[in-house]
Amino acid sequence: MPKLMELVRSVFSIWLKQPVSIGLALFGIAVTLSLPMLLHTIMVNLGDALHGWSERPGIVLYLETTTSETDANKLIDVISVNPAVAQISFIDKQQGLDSLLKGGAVSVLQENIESNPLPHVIIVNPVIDLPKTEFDKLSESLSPLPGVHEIQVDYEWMEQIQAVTGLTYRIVFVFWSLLLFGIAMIISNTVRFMISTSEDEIHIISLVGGTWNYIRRPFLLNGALLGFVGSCLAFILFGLCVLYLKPALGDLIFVYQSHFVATFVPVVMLVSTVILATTVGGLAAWFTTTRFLKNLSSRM
Amino acid sequence: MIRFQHVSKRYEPGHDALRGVNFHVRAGEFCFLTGHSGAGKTTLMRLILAMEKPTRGNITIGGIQMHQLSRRNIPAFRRGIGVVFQDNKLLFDRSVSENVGLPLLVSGIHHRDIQRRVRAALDKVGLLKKETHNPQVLSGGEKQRVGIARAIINLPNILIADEPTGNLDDDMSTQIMELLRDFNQHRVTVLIATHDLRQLKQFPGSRHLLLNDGLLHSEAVKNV
Repeated sequence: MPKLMELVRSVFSIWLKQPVSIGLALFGIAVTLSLPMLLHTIMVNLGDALHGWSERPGIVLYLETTTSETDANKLIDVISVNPAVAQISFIDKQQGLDSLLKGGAVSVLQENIESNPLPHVIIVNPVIDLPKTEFDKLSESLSPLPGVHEIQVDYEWMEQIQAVTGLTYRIVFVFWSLLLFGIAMIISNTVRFMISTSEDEIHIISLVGGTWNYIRRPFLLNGALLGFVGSCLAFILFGLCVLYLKPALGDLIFVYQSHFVATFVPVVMLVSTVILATTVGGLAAWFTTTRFLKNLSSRM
Repeated sequence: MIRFQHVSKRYEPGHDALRGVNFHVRAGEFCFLTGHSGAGKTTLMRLILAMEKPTRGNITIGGIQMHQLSRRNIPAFRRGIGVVFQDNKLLFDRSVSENVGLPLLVSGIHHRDIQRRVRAALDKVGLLKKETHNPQVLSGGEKQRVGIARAIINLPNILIADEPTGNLDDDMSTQIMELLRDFNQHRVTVLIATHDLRQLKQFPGSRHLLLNDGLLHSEAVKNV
């Protein structure tokens, strides 16, 4: 416990020695990390909302007109176990007819038919990154299912989604990588500054028998802590930015008459951001301290 | 205990800090290393502390061949040597007792043991009452005594002091030298680098190594 207290004290004594430079470094990290999060949110929401891709079908199964709703539900149960399927929607024959009638084009027909001639319809949305071969396999496996009369496949839609999603993730990934490198630079520079103000102490500790690991420890912890606290501040900054942008984004979507449900950065992304920033901070501090110690031992 | 065999140290072509130095300080000896400024005293001290590597020759400290000492083993090696500096090298953001306990702390000694041994060391140098003080408020002599307490806390076999009385008045210098002599009475090998030849007269029977332009003068390697 006293050793831990000593470590904590040595870490925070460095922070207290340079509150302004530490504050600026944390702000820099927070701004840097919040940028890709904002980019991700804006791209994903604009993509979803303006094009309404999520509402477009991938595979449409027209069932036999004799297939009952109970049989259709059994069919849905069978299809849903396939791991390539992301979502299944069911449109019963009455919903289908109502939809047609809304257009008014078949109102004359309606007067001349005794019963609803439309079949039940099942819409299968495959997982977003399903390759073409897997998509074909899925559609081939659906057509022979009992009760399926006809199958309509729209892989072009999948390709469009995959292209845009792929581009979005690549842009975010490139941004993320560049900015993580930026964070490493910020933390490395801050740690170098910390070291320069503790140079005498490091020298003395080295002379009385302190190992490199002992000397490195508070700086490593400092680097990791800078990454951790910086990423937490980034969330706050990101939240404030989203609050500010959300009404404007909503207005834009409304103009395009699209259904808009804002999706924010996924939890996995948030957690991985914290872990990555903390790790990058620790690694940057490790490299900086090791380089300094190598220089010190060659100077000593 | 400390053996130099044909040791030379060259920093740059044409500038030899030490030239073929040979000497052997035996266990329990009280030894002075003198010479004018730039004679090579500090270089010799740095070689003993593994802060430098000799350009030529062999150094053996406490049975350890220095050329075989890896970087990883240097910290453990240094814990076996007590060092006193002219400028104390104290940390002013820590108390007197924390400064003294630093070599034990970096060795991973238990906190309770550190406290006990720090108090014993401070008692030896007569500063027990000032253990909670900040070193900044101490006088020059007191600071040096804190430095000595830190040097002996690990119970080293070798104590080296680089101009330990350089910044002190005569009375205080005598006190510090008496303190170092006292440790020597407990079989600690003491090597003191100094340019003040008056100190030698206070300690008859002690050994004297005289360095001049990197050469160890043979006539000086004898009892005073």
